[in-house]
Amino acid sequence: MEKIKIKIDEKRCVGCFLCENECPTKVFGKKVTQGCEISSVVNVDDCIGCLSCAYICPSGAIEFFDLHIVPNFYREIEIINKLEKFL
Amino acid sequence: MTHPRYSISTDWLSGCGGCEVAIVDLDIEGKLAKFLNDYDLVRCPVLMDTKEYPKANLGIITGAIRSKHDRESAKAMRESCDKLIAFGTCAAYGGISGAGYVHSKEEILNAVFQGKENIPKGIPEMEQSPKPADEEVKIDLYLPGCPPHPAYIFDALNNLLKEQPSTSRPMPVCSTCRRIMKKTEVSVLKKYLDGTDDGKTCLLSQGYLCLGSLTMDRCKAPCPQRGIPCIGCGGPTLQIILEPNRDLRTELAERMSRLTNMEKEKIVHEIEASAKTHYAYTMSSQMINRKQTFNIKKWIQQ
Repeated sequence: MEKIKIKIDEKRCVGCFLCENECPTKVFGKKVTQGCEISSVVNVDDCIGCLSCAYICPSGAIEFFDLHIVPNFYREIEIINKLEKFL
Repeated sequence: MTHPRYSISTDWLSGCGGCEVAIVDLDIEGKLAKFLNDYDLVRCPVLMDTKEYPKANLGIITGAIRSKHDRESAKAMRESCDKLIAFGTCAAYGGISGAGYVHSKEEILNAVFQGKENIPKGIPEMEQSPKPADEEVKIDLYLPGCPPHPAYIFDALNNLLKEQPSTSRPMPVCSTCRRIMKKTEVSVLKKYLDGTDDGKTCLLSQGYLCLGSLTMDRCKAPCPQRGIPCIGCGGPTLQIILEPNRDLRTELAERMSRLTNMEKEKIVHEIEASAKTHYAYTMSSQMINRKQTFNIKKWIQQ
């Protein structure tokens, strides 16, 4: 099975550490980049792929790769079709 | 070799005209000359006195549908243009005219004209409820923003006419705001005009209801960076639209309660009490008002 990969966009991270606070398995830590304290992934092996961090992140800086995507059947097809046309 | 020139037709429905100004603002990005070189404006009510709807490759609709005139104009634009952009939050979500969603046509007319007999003759008949452009005509591309930042306008035009891949990503306003979001000991919820902003810390951490983390960034965060809390004029992020259990008030309360010493319920209550302000730009769109979590009429009565 492919391991989950997590990428934090350093330019977008606002250093709130809500991801660290929210994560049930202590995946996130802190690091200093260009004088600013931002979030970093320190323990990716423990990630259970719950996506709580991606949902709480105010700036959309956390991106997941190699995640098994389950289709969401509760979404309205009309809205999905509309959103595909959003820039 | 000469490149093909595309014709653009614009129409202004119920909106403020800021979207037309945004096209002129392409100059900020140094792209106005390129715009005029690549595109022919065949109809633009702000600049020229045109009543007809000439054929065009691209139509730009700004503003919401609030009157019978708006509805007919939108249909005429659809017939005369190959492709149509819902330009700005009003066309995409209903925008500020859409805030009339919470009141009936009669209530609004009575509040404005103080009685039926004072309504001037000859004005276009008002629709029962305001609505975004896509409820009347098929839209090929939505570009929210109030108005959209010039950087995104060129991207939209290239994407639709030249079929170039878009470089814009659906990120929240916080992704371009440079304030530092941190845990504070604030325990009082502040109104927009209360206190003085410190210039560096995130407005949420300071206790202001800033909607930046829930609003799609089509503006490059000019307001929060200058100390004005975001009012969500760019429309909600995909998270709010797509997830049935997630709503503007609960998401904001979730983040704010972790950043400050305020309780989640207190924040939710405050947002519900001033829901007309916080949901003003998007409440007439079915993307928001069909959600089970959205119950503005009940909140207003309370």
